[in-house]
Amino acid sequence: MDSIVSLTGLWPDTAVMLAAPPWEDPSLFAQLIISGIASGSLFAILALAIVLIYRSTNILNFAQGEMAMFTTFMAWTFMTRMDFWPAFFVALLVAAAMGGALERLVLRPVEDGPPLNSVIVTLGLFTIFNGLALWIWGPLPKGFGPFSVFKGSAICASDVCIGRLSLGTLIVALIVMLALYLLFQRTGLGLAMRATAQNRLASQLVGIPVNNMLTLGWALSATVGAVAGVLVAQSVSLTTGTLFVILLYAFAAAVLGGLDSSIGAVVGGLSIGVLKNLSAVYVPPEVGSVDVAMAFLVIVLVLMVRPAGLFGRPAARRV
Amino acid sequence: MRRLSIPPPALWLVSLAVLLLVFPFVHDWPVFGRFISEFRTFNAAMFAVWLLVVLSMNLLTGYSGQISLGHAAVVLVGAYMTGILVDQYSIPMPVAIALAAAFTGLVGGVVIGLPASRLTGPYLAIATFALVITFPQILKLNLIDGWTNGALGIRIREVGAPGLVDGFLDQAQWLYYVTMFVALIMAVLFWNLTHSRFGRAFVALRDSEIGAEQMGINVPMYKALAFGISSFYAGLAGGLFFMVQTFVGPESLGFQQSFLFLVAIVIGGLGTILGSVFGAFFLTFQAEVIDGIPRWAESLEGRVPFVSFVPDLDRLRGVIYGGLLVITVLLFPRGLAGFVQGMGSWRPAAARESLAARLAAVRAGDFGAASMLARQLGLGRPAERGDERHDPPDAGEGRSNGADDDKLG
Repeated sequence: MDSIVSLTGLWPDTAVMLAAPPWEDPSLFAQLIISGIASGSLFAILALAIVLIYRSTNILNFAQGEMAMFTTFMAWTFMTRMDFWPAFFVALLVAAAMGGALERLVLRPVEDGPPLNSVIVTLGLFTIFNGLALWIWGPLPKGFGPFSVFKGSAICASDVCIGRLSLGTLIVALIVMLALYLLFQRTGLGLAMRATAQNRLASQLVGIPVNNMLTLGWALSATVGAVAGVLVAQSVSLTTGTLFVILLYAFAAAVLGGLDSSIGAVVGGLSIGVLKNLSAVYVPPEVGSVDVAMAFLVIVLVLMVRPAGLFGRPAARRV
Repeated sequence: MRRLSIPPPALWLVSLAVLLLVFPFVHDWPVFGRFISEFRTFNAAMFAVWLLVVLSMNLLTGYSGQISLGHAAVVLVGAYMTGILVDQYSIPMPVAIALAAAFTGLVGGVVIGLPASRLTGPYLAIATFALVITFPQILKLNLIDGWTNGALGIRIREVGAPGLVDGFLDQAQWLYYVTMFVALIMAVLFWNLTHSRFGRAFVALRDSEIGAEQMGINVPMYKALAFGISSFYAGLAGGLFFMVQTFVGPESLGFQQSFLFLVAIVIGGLGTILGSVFGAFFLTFQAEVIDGIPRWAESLEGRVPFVSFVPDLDRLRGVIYGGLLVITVLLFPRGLAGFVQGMGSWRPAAARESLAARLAAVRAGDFGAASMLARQLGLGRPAERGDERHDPPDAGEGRSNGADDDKLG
């Protein structure tokens, strides 16, 4: 019982849980890491979507979270009318169409401009999607509970447990990562997309339809974002603000892993998930809650020490 | 030291000054009172505060090209610092605001600016985005609870006019004069700053960092300087914000405000003082206008088709702001100020030629471009001042974005 300490001071009656250090309670520590990895896989998928766009167009998509939120609301609407899996894939298709259309109509003109313009445009899209979702679906949360596919009791090994949903999320994240890896490393299309990201002019000269590749990049990214959105909505109920904070963690993950590395996005996402869990429990209550501040700290530290991230390639300066 | 110059044209400025001077009394006048309510005095005081914020944001993003999505956090630092000094150390309000502004400038220059000087475009946007989302949590940390008062924030009694003018001015009028006076002085200083070699260096930095470096500009130093000066303005605005509102809490200003600041400078006009004035108008009246839309739509119902098919118009706020932002960037990249200034000489946005492109031309041996580049950076002929530049007729494409001089009207 020595882990419960009554703090005298401002609120003398409040008992505050102080977690025992890892060496005294290893199963708590293991549990935190496992569930951290599970929630981190959500950040990883959204970070993957961000990295996909950044790699191919050098645009940082601030609207990524809100696009995912919007398509998740659409998925919810579909799911009230059909089964989970058909609705899920219809939502992915709609997301892909939306991403491609956005690139064609809105982002094409700012792709070659200064970064300020593209940041402003994606921020504009951010509030447009947020406002549209609020307008169409209203402020009340939408539960995905009835449509959940990962049901059942948690799977335990001695003291450490993992929920089916967490396990499912993790597996989906790994599948998405594997699919993207195969697409980029093993197919001609992926090769063309990589070439476009690397050197647009040269790719054009060797006959790659560069514009289509950029559109495809956005469509792909919106699809991956939609997967993240549906998975997030399985664990928390869906509102227009649900993906906002997750976007911050996804940014932290993408920066940590390197903005141009998809492996980095996954490793970064999982690490951020674990860090978030650990900081929520092991930071003493005298300091206050720091789970969001932790993401900020990671971003700042990485940008100071190694701006290219863990797996990224240092950027060459070009005039 | 160059002596401070007063921006032309003088007659307009004098009439503007008279207008500003009598404004808080207009609501008492017989005829005018019908159009202007007493509440507008308070509006005008907030306008002055927002003007400082927009100038600050514009210096950083519009002139120097450093994307900041976290400006609300910087303003919050100024407001909190003023609150702490006044509330806990009983320092008189004017001194507290000055100290807070200086502190914010120092923090902005050293703590944000120096690290940020290593970052480029999108990375800086991420870092400042993270800052503004995190800042409320930082302010609520139990660690600094003694100063910030946690989630409750800092509240003080109203700051009335000092003895002599007390009976003559009411609360709102006093706040109006103080904030407007400070904002005007700072705006004139801003005009001088942006027309000095510092201002030109900032613009060079925005247009091409490598180009600026090759022109002998100390890039990290000027970046940190841009952050420092911008933060000073933001801190000053924060102090005045606290004085006018008499309250500041962790959620007083957040990501939404930061976003609105960005909307303000973009639709007002990046890199111009006139645009900042438009932007401040936007910040002052946006809520009122948007909140008025449903009522306005209701009054149109039956007379205009389709209006009744759009329910919950007030929820479309985000769509309206975002749409404004995207449309402005895509179609009117010079904003409202560019629209007003360039009404005679319209040219498509795509024709804007960046400094980087000129630099490439210089490399390729185009010496005409080289001399224009030098002139743009203010390095060419020393006799030329920022406000007297004219491009030779054979320059062809017209002035680039880099030479967007504002003429205050």
